Order: sequence, then C-alpha cells, then structure tokens
Amino acid sequence: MKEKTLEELWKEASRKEGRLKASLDLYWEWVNKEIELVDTNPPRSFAEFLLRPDYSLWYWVSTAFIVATVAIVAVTEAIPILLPLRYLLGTAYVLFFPGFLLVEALYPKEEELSPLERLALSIGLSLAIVPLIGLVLNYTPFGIRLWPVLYSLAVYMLAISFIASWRKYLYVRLYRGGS
Amino acid sequence: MHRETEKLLVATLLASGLALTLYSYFALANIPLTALGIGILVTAASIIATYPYTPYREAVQSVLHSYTANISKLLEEFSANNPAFYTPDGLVLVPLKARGMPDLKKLKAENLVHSDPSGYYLVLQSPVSTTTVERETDLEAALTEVVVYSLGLCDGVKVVSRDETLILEVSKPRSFKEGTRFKKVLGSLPLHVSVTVIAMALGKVVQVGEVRQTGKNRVIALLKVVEHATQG
Repeated sequence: MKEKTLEELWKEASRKEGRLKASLDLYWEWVNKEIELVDTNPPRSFAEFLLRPDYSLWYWVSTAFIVATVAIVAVTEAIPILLPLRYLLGTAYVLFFPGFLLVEALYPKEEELSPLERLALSIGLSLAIVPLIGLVLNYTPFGIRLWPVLYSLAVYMLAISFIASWRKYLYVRLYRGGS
Repeated sequence: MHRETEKLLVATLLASGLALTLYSYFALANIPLTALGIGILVTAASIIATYPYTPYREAVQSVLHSYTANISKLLEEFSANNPAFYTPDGLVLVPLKARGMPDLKKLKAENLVHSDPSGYYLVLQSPVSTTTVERETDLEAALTEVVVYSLGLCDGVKVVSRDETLILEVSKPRSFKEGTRFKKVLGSLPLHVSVTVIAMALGKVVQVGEVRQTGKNRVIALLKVVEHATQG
C-alpha cells in the first residue's frame, strides 16, 4: 500500500477540520507516535544536512541567536533603548544556550531525552560551564570582562553546536543506509 | 559513547588534571587552579570507578568462542542457508526447509527442530538471557549495555529505525572466527547478539537482511521487523 505524504494527510484533514486544527492534530499524532514521518530523501552530505532547515534549523537559530546577542551588546552602548532586549538575550546566552548546545552534542538522538529533561540539563550545565570559562579567562591577560566573556562563550557555543550537528548527521547517514 | 573515546577521555582528564594540579600547586602556588586540577582528577577517577566493565569478560569471550564453534558445526550439519528469525524470548529459528513466517504459537523451546505449516526450523538458544534486557527500553542503550559493556563484542553500536526496518551499525566488531555459514545465517557473532537484544527489547520477531562492511571496521546491517510472525 502506498503511504500518504504529510501534505496529503494535512489536506485531507484540513478539508474536514480546518487548517489550524488539522495541523495541530497531525502534530500531536506525530508526538504520540500514531503516525511516523519517513524522509524519502535524506541529506547525502554533511553540507546538505547543514543547509536543510528540516534537519538543522536548531543550528542556524542558535548561531543567529549568538550573533544577535553579540550585536545587541555592541549597539546598546549607542542605543540604550535596546537595553531590555540585551537583558533578555543575555540571560538566555549565559543561563541556557551553553548547556543546551552541550546537551545536543552529548545526546544527539531526539528520543534519548524528553524535552523537560533537556531543559533542566541545559540550565544546570550552563551554570557549570560559564564559571569554568570565567575561571580560565581569569588566568589570561583578558580577565573576566564583558567582551572576553562574550566572545569566549560565543566561540565555545559555535564550536559545540558544530560538533552537535556532526553527531546528529552520523545518525542521518546511518538512516540513509550508512554510506 | 564508544569505548575508545571513553578511554581517550579518561586519559586526557588524568594527564591534564595531574599536570594542572602539580603545576598550579608548586609553580604558581594558586589554590583555585589546584582545586580545578583536583576536580579534573576526581572526575577521571569517578569515570574509572563507575565504568560498566564485566570482570569476567575474557572468560565470557572464551565461552562465546565455543558457542560460535558449536553453532557453526550444527549449521553445517543441517546445511542451513537462510537468515534466521530472532524471537523476543531469546530463541533463534533457523529455517531449514521453510517458506514464509514461522508460527511461534506452537514453538517449544526444548525441541531442537520446530515444525509448523510453513516448514522446519532449527531452534537455537541465543547466548543472551531474557532477564538481561528490559522490554521496550531504549534500543541503543540496551545494545550498548549488553554488547559493548558486558560482553565487549564491539566498540560501539548505533541504531535507527526506518519504516519497518532497523539499521544497525556495529563499530569495531571482534572476530570470533565464525564460519561462512554462520555469517550467512546469523551474521557475525556481535551482530547475532545485537539482533537478539533488539528482538528482546522490541518484543518482536526480527530477521537479518542485508549486511555490509562500510569504511574501516564498521558493519551495517538492515534488520527486518517481522510483524506477521504469529507470536505465542
């Protein structure tokens, strides 16, 4: 029997229930494992994996977030109205993302941890990583100042998110057949 | 995490922790850095202390060598050729003169040969006990526990599912001098044990499909989950 595509399922459901309800229902069916989504054309290379948003959206969102935070910190000295935004992004930059990206690298398979476990581990690990980076910075000529902390966290997060992407790609490669 | 990676991590932690501790205490006279060095050493020590290593691994592997030799002789005697079925009870059904799927309702573990309308099957007991594997656990965790840590049959395993197929990757599998027929019917021993664990963890009948070597020391097997086998 030919399996239906997600689009066919969605169109069928949205005719009966409307677009929003159909989308939500399909999402929950997928979460509850009532339907299984199979990619018939998985990425063939790491570059393709990185460029496909259905696989690497999290990576680009994280990278954009890191760049945006650094940019916001840079411009708030000239535009103080953006200060609340800086607080908001800065909180996530220090208290969530360092741990979140490490968790992604350590547990690349989605089903290994529940979203709640990921959230808890992300916050906990962030609290452990940032002081360690601070400790190392303390013994460098740069010291624990705004820009060295900002840059070293950015470098750490970019590096670890790249490692996480590679580890996720290894599973996609296996899914494709391992070649 | 692969065993080699773990060893490398522990070695790195030990070397860097020791160097940092000694250097920061004697040369720098710096207490926070000394504490960091000791912390790294404690981390390495905890990894070593909690390493899930079976103390009788060599003995287990020697028994597995004998198991492989015995089963190879048995398969040779029965001229088995087709890929075996792995049941959730830890039994392996090797088709002798069979077509289609076995009927597991009538299967008696104490018989050497099982017969049902689909044909005759050689009944083997796999080397893994059903109590070792919990049903409906995470497949990769169960495989790592049994195949990598307890039995030391390979350095790492990865598994993903695609439709009704499971794709299993075994890294650096140990060789047990399996005969050609053993490999054809059951796969290599690490693969044989892995599929047994998968069948137990899934609670379904599994059959090995295509097996191929990719890259250096990496074996990939496509496993079919046989939904239609009548289970007892």
